[in-house]
Amino acid sequence: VAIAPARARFVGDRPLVGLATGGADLAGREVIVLVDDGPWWFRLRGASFRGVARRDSEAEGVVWWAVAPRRVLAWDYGMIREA
Amino acid sequence: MLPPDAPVVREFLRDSLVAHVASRSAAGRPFVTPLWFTPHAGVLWVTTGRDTRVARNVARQPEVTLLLWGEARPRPGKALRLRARATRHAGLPPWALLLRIAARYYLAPGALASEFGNVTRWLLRARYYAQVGGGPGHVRLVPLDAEVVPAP
Repeated sequence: VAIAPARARFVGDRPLVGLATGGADLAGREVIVLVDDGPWWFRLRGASFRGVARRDSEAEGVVWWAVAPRRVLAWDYGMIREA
Repeated sequence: MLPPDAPVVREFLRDSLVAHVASRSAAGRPFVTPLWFTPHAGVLWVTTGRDTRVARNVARQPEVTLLLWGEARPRPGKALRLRARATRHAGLPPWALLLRIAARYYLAPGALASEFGNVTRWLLRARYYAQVGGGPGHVRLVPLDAEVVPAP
């Protein structure tokens, strides 16, 4: 299974991931975009977006891929509270 | 590809506290999750519930790929991609490992400040862990090879 560092930005609630030009071709592939923060337990937080990627644009040596999320997970351990 | 004992690999393992672990389900679907890891004796130890998604995945598909960001490195801009073979184990790691994990993630200077700032939530955290499906478990990752990749 492949994993690569990427830039991420959002248009509304839709993530876009940026890979260097010449990087993997994500067109039509199922991808997971993970953004997170930490590292201490009560500072662990993040979100992951699972969806299919399609090429969006290319600028300044970065190819941007739009991901239409089918499933979103988010967590923030610092916000833990009674259910 | 770099061998697991290459100096730059050791540096990334030392300077990273969270690994993004990519695994594959039995059906072949990708999954990625950020996990704490503790290197010891050539193995990366990860505590996780025995029936968490990543634990179930590696029980079926042991080859995983990790991304280490080296967040404590003086010159960011690169990441380490590391292939590893994973095994799932029931129960917590041995005590010696638990002490290493505690020192790395709960007793480090930044961690202590965060821990003491959240004393009132420790019980909640314990209850959260008690809910983990399948009870306590851990995953052992044996690095196979690695490569330094640019982080755009």
